[in-house]
Amino acid sequence: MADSAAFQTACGTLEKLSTLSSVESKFAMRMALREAGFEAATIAPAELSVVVQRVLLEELRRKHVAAPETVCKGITEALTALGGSAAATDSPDAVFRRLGGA
Amino acid sequence: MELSSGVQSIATLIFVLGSTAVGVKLLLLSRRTKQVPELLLGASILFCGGLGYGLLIGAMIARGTTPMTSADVPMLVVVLTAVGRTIHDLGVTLYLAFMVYVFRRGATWAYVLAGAGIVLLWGGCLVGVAQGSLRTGGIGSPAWFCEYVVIWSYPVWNAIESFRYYGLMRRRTSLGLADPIVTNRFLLWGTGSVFAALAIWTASIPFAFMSDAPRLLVILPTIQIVTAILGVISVSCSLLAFLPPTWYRRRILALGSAPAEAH
Repeated sequence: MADSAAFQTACGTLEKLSTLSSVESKFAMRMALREAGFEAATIAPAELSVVVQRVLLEELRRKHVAAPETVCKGITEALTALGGSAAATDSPDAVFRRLGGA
Repeated sequence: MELSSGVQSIATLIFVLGSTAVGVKLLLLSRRTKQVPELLLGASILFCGGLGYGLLIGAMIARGTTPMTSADVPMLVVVLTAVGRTIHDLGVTLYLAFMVYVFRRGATWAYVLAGAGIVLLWGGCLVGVAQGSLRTGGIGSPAWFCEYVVIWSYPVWNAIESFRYYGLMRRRTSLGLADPIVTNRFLLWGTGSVFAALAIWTASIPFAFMSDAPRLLVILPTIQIVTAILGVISVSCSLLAFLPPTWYRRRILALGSAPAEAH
């Protein structure tokens, strides 16, 4: 499955705002997604924004990336501009949320 | 023997009624939401566990003491078997469609695997019918194996997908990014699928002893009780997942540290 637009946008912005290469940016982002329990193919912009703030920020600090807060803020802004804040209605978690509903 | 038959009858009734309740609930939900997953899952549970299984049990009761290998059965048995098997296999087909649609959309290997399963299921069923399996069961024939290899395996695939997603959801929950009740729902659905698989496998054991009636009579009570217990656990998981009572929701929320519902 192809990576979601949110994931591609975040990787592109990370690469632009840091000294990380394209491969390193994708790797760092995939590590953050893995730790948070999301998949690159299905994650929504709003979900990725939270992952960036809560997980990627620490990941960038560990990698000694300069001004990690600024980088993460830039990624979050890019994701906000992307829109589509709600998670997909047909992602497994959205489906299972509905299935148990009243 | 009477005790095991009684336990099996009660457990079968619980299983059929529980499956019907869950299936109908999901179908009503699909009418409201107009979404495909609830339609696929609701219909599959209703067709497999409710109508299909119920009709096939009815066929077994109508068959009475006539051996499974005997072709000399009343027309009612043939009709109940034909309708029950068709509805059951339709349920299995929809089940496979649900798994691919929800968990593996866009994954070529999943379409191929589900497609192969559907071809084996219906191919085996149709060839078996042509060979007279509505009367004799066709147990042990290549067509029977084709159909049953799908029936034996589809809950396993579903369990694997559910547990994999449960792992993802647990990590999200720990970050406050997922509802603990939804996370638990994947665990329940996976667990229910494991017990469904175990029940199907256990219920299939007598097929291996069709030519050894004395031994079959010895093992049958144990098989009936074990199958009954496994089936009830399976349908209980479905009920807790898709018709969760308030006390269960409260319990899961109390166990989870993340904010709930408003994900």
